Amino acid sequence: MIPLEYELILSSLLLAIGLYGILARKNGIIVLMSIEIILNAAVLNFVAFSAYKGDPAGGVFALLAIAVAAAEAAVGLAVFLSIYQTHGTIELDKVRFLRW
Amino acid sequence: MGNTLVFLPEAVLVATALASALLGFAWSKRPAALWGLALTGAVVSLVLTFDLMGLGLTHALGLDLWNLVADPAQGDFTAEPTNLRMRVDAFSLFFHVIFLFVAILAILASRGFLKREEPHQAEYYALMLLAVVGMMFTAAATDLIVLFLAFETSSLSTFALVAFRKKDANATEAAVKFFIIGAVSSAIILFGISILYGVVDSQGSARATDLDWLRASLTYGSYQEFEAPLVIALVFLIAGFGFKVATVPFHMWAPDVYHGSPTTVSAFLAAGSKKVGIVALFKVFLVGLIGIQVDWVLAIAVLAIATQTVGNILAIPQRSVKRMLAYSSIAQAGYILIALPVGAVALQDASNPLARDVAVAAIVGALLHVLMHAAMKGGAFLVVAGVETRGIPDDVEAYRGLSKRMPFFAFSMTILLLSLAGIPPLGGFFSKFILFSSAVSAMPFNGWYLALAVSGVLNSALSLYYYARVIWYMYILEPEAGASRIDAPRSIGAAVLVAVAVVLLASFVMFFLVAYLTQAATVFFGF
Repeated sequence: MIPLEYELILSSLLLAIGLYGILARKNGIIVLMSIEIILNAAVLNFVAFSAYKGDPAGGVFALLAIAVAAAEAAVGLAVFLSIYQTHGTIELDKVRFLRW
Repeated sequence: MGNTLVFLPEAVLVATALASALLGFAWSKRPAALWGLALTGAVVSLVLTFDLMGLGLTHALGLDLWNLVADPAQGDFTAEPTNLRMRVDAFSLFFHVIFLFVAILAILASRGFLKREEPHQAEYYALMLLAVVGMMFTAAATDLIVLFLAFETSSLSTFALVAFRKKDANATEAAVKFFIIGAVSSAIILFGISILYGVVDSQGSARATDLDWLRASLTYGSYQEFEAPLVIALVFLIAGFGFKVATVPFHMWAPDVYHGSPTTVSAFLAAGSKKVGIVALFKVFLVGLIGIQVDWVLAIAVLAIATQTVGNILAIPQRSVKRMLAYSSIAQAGYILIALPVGAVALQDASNPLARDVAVAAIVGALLHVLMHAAMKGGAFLVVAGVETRGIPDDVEAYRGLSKRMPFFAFSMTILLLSLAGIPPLGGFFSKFILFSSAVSAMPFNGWYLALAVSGVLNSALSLYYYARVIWYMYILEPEAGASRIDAPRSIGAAVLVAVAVVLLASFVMFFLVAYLTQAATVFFGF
């Protein structure tokens, strides 16, 4: 069995990659992918802890989280599609009419 | 069946939403019928919720809904909905009423706000009702995973709702910002929950994320103060929920989104959707994580003060009324956050009657302010919506002399803004009074709680400046030459009237409200 530490290190790395992608990349689709990577880091955590503790609940949560991620991707793609139709781009730094 | 009947209000909402989405194909030329359907569903659901609170109307039907509400005071934790990891009690019912009230306001006003020929109105009402279902389940959840799923149900619906006018560049931009912030915050919340799930010892049963179980097992008997994994989980949870409530380092999205969305949706978001984050914060921190309060009390207290101050200061230079209201709603969320650190003293010494009273007072104040804020902010945004439908932009310059052009809207806006500032006979005064005085009463436990009250009072005084400016424009300045009196759409007027009535009449039923809320807070803490 893979030691728990390895899985946690991997999930922390995924989290860091996801956060980097959200903060540094401007393309809407890449930001969406980065969000999915963070969600998958959480899913990996659930599965790793579930196997470690011998508690099946974690696996169930992982499945539920995957379903949520799918729903989120669907809504997100629809939102990006509509902004492409109004602005002609999904580069997020070019989409700036509203300012504080 | 049995006790799952307590979810009858939610079932009515889901049925109405699905019916609306389907009938949208047949009734696309008859938006009034869709509006009537959505409004009827929401009102029926509200009546059923009042019935669950003890109104007794369904007695004639042999349902007796009020018997089904879980009452932990009598050790009644085993009612059937517990299997669904949800519990309907006085606390969650109060939030159900708030969410339904906001939805009814928004739907009522939509009749006048949406143009007759606008497409996709069926989906608009369906999404709004489904968002309310998610909000209601969040308030009822007793398990982090159910809470997360319900939270997502409401978030996903509101993302689509903001982008409802998909030809409007401002609305799609607001939707993109709202979606990215919302999706990132839910991913972060899920990561925090996954760490908590790993840390907490479930002892072989599938309840590691149950809030009551977390409360029993996460204590300083078994964990050190500031233990690394718990701190990481707390940071993720505070950041994630902080995004949703728009607390200060995470507040940048709120003015953009409230400004860009269709105004009825802004009202729904500011008055309703924000409260979901607050109820989730209450549930997670004051029930689940109260045992490790030293780790988070200071962080949330600092966030509360920063949120009030930054929200108010940034509201001052705003020329757009919608953005001003958005910043003021950031500040108002900061006042509500005071209840978290103050409420946390409850478990420091739960046997001490003073600690109990202070914690209950903090929650009563917060719940009252949630209700008042829903009415005030919802009403204020709807006034902006009503003015907007007559072609007046949301710039404060355009409100010049509004009292002569739209007297009812100007008068309502004045009442709502004065109540937001906390002027005495209005509802907003009582909620702030209870909230701030609970912070003062918490001083025997830690003198620093005074800072929360002082910051709240100073900030309320500061906020009067920019509220009064709008009133000044509406009443003191003369309208531009040639501006004539305009009739407002009647449905928006009705919705505004309801909100103003709640704010004005709240002081007359204050004893009743506070008595109910004290019961709710007691149930919430499980005393």
